[in-house]
Amino acid sequence: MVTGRSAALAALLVVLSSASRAADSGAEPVFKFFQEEANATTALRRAAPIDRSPLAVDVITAEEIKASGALNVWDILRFRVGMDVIEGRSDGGADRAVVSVRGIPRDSVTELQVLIDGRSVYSPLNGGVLWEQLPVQIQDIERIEIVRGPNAALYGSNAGTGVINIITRRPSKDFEASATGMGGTQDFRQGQAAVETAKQSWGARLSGSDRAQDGFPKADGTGAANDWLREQKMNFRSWFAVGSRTDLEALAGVVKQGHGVNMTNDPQAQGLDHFQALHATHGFDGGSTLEARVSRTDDDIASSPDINGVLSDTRYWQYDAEAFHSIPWADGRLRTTYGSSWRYASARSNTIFGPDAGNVTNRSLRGFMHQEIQVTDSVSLLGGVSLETDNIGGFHKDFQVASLWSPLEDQSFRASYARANTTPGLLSRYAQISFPVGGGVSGSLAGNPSLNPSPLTDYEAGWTGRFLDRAVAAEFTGYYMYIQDHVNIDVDANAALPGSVFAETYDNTNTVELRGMEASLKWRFAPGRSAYANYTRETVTDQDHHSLYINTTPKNKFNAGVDLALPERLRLSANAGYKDAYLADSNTGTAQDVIPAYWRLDARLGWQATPKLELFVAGQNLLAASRREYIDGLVVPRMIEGGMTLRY
Amino acid sequence: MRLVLLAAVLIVAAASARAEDVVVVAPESPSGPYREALQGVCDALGSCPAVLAAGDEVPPGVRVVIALGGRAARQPYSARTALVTALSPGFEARSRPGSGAVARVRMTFSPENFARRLLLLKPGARSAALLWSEPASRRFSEAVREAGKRLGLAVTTVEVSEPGAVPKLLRDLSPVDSLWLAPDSALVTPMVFDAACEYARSAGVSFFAPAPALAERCGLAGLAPDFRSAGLRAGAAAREALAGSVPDVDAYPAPPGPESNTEVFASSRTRAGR
Repeated sequence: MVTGRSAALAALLVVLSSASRAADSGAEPVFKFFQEEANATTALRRAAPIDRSPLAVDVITAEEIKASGALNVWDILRFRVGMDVIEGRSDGGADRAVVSVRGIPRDSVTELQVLIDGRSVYSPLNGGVLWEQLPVQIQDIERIEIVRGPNAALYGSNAGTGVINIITRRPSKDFEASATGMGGTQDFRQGQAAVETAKQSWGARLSGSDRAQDGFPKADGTGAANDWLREQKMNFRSWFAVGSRTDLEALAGVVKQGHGVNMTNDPQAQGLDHFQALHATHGFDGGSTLEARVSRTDDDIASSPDINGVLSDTRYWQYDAEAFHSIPWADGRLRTTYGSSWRYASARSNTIFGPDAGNVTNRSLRGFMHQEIQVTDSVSLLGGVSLETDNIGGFHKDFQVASLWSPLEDQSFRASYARANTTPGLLSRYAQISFPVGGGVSGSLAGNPSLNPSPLTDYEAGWTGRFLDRAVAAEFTGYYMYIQDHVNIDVDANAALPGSVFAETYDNTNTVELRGMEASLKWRFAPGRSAYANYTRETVTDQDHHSLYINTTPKNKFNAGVDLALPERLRLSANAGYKDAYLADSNTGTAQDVIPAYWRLDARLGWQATPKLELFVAGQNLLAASRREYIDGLVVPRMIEGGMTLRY
Repeated sequence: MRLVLLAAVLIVAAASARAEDVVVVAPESPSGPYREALQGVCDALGSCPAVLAAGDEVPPGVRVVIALGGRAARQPYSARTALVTALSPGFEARSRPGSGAVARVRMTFSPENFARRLLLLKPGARSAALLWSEPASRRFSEAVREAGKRLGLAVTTVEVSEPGAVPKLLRDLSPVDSLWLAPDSALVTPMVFDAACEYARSAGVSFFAPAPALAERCGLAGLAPDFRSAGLRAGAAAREALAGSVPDVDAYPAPPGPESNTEVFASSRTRAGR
């Protein structure tokens, strides 16, 4: 019997062994070879594999963006792990959304750096990002990379809770032209078009869009608010290869806006924002690359009448220059990146800096070095330091240390310790604002010349794994971070402006603590078919017990969705998200309010009628006729729109 | 008889001296495609040269290094050593410090040959789509398009920025007679390959896979150098380098290579309609 069992076992082993050999002699070794080669070529100018990153990285592809049916950039970010999006209509102007990573959403999320093609679009005026005014169109976005966690050693100030890099399409097609027209509820109308051409040594793309929509409904049911929007955007991107080693790029964009502002007197605002950028890359002997970028940004916003009943005209402009050299050496086991950047940011306003302020300015200069060390085939260490000096806030240093361990193929563990500073904005330094508070009296908000940078310290660990021929990707991250000297607005009678009965000013004596975990799972179960789910848990405490910090972050968030290629060239995408209750608070809003927990569903159905024609219908916030997300007296309505895209 | 023996000894000595002039740098314990390529190198040189792992010091006096794989290709070598790279699909052959000669054996072949071979496999074909991803493939795909135009074959080049986008890219593709997946390291994954294969089957177009084993997996045609022939070409390039002339296979688009550099998989010919 024993002999019989042994024989059976031997036979089984032989069968398994031959099955294994059969697999080895087939396609698997070829796939393994190409995967090995993919890992060996990360020195190319490509995004490093996610499982080689020292921080949690989430990449949103062009396909996912298109499938989402998103109308706004913030809608693309809404269902991603670790992200929080509030569609708001701030009374202050065109700041129509609050996007935050890892908590403390508010009017100006100062700890989040946002880049478009590597160029910072973080507003030096008041900190944070004015999402509606970003000079980028969804039709141009190739990829969005969301890095969660501090990355100031590479990106400098304000890269505290994360960095979002929006990467636009580099023209590569011989010729392509596309046009999309769509319309929907809220009297939404949008037309957009793009044309691109590329040859062996150059390429260019031009795109434009025009959009109009009515104001959102008022929460009290009295009709539409005065926050209508009319907006035109135009973008240009071109590249030119000089020989085989040098690549030059020129980028430009302009956004022209007219919109209503939801305030007493129904003011209207006009905005004109534009940028120009040059980017050069040169490859040297040995594989090192030098990148240089210069850019200019100019934003002009005029509002009439403002809260005091006068014409408000505010303009800020910024010049940036950056260069860095990245050198792989020791067979690619070491990579050193060093560089420096310079920024000149200036603003003027007849209402927010006082009548005699003139131009207010901040200059910053930064140098940084980053080192990657592949200790063994499975262990890497990374570290970097950035030294920066600013007119506002003075000198500060940021750093990052991380280790990566990949004990098995497609399994990677990481741990990191980092510090990243947030520098005060021009407004928090120079503000001189008086505003009516009712009853014929006024209050004031004054800047504080003594503000320091706010250092954020982060400890985090994570795991990334892929399974089933990489069809399943999973990720888990846990973190603890605290922000010292955090900038708040507090009442301070000593800072009162003449005629004010109460006064507020900025101070940075607070310490905010953030703890959380993030988990995500994505499964591509068939070509063109995938499903995902992610869960985020965040807790915020603060020393001064400001409700702005403690209760504004929903504790639990859960998102799930599918992207399905269906028969008859149909494609269905659906994204659903749940958020715990949270307190909506705003620097510029009129009141605080608790927003109950809610689910939100966005979906899109597309039909590729012919290779050149697609018809689609999409909807946002489908589960409710309207929902309050913020506190400015508006609700977010259910939106449904349809349209068609022609591509040649 | 003594004369014959002496001649034989001299030939053996000459051959062994030749082998010491050449080393192969490859992944430790080369397996699969690397081993196949190494076999090709041995066959081309007549004997197997020493095999070093990436990171090992190359002995002084070595005149030619054959680097198998991207990791080996990126390693710095003496400027007096000629370098032949193979099996490094994503390696962009920028010149090395000291400008030592570099010959690169590509896993693709001349665009002209490619277009001709497509027409050979699929007579009457009028259109083809080529999926590519690596920066190193950009100019190759453009050159294939130009070569196709000269031969009356409309080649649509499709850049794949994200492997997950392949199904959608394929669905959006105008109807074509044949589809080719470039041997890009970022592109040849089971998911992408199976998506392209499924598309080819359902659309009834010929699918040319970048390696014989992949063609077998899909059950359709293949059109690419196999790994052994890449090794053979690398060995031949090393011999030319020893003779004093480093073959200029680094120029891009590559000049028409020898026919041996193009492999039409025998088992696939019938399926491709030949």
